[in-house]
Amino acid sequence: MNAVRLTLALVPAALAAGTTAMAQQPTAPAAQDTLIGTVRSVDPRSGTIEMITGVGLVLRMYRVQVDEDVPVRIAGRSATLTQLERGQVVRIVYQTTTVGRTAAYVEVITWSDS
Amino acid sequence: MERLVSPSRAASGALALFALILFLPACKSPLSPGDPLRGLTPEQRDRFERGRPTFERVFTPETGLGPLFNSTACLTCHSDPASGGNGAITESHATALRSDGFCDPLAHLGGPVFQQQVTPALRQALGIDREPFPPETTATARRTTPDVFGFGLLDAVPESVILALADPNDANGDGISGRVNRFFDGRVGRFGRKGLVPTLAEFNEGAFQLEQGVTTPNVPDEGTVGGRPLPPGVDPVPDPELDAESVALADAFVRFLAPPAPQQLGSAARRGRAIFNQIGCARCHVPTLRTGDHEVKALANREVAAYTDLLLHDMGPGLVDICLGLVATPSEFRTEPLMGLRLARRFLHDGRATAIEEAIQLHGGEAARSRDAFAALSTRDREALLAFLRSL
Repeated sequence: MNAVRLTLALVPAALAAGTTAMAQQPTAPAAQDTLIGTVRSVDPRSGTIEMITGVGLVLRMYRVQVDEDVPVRIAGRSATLTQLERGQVVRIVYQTTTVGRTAAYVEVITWSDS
Repeated sequence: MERLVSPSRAASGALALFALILFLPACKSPLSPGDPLRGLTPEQRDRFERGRPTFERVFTPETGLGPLFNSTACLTCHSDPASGGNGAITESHATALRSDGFCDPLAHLGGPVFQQQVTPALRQALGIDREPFPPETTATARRTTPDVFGFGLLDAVPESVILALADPNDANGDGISGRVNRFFDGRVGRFGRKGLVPTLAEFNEGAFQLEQGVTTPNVPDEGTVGGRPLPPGVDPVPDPELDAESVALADAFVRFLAPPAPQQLGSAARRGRAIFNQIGCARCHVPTLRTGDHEVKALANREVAAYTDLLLHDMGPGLVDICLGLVATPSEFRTEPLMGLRLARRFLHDGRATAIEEAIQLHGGEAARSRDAFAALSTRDREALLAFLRSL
């Protein structure tokens, strides 16, 4: 599935740095993007998160690979993939490689309505 | 006998006529539906006018329409009584409320909006006339097309204003809660019947893909057909099918549409306005919201007679349809703005009511007390309230 672009969620510095680097050094790491969305499912066995986000009422589901060594944080504390729950809002910094989206960082986002 | 006019009276009459001629141009004629906001700069007015053709543009499969779509142009639905108005077309939404309470918008299966039409190429490839609801669906919904007059002002209301009106736990004990819906990334929502979408720009850009199947820079793919990839060859136009400038101009057209000017109130309607407040309608249909600072002066720090709090309220079991977003339950709906109510032909989110009175009678949940109070009014007071509502 193609990505719905989330311009607000891009990481401009990383993107710019990555683009420059890629032009000069073919072996440089892929550029990083950020997705912010709601966890639809977590599969600790395969190390994948399905998340939902979009533009207006155009919604898409994204599958992101989260390897064991990827930092996961909940409420500022270090956590594991098994502690993520459906319905939580997460910010995932990821790279797109030949195998798909691979997370570099996962963080649960919270807010207060009061 | 001929009446004599004194020289001094004649002079004062001439002066009054001169003053009338002098100040006539300063008298503003009332805004008509479809007019731009007052106070736009020439450049903003120019963008409004240049955005209209994109809003009214009829797409074909050769120019990007489909392969799934609800209409061929924004104007097809938003045409009554002018561009940006309401329309007769309803669309279909579906979601799945999971047993753990999670509201799944069925994004992986084409949801939550399921298009009602397909291009000839897609019909030929898949043998379908519309996008099917997936078996996982737990609820469906019909949605009418509201007018979008004044939506730029709603967009300019600061989030803090909406949050200040919220009372999620009914702390003041008035029986009215008012909850903020949240988009999937956690931002405060306000647009759409379930108050899901945070900004007008996103609502507008997303509508091109959802309603016309026209891809844009921020929505550069057509998605799926009920979760299945598009068959090859059914969507030959390269993506994005609409460029960023056209999207921005269409957004400017919608953003700068003025809200319908409320009509002058007669004595009955004035009494109706007081009754509107007395029986509690104004607790959710908050008469005015104030916009915040804004780069567009015509949208900045203005009172807008929106008659909404942009919050979700439980409307009772009679109106239940889908859940949506991080907060909205099947019975919760965002308070419908009543600005421009006199232009509507059908009422409530799905158009099930054909008259304002019927729509009030179908209110339940948090609005039940006001509905009952309306029913208990004398015929004279009820007519006064309806006269007020028909003036908006």
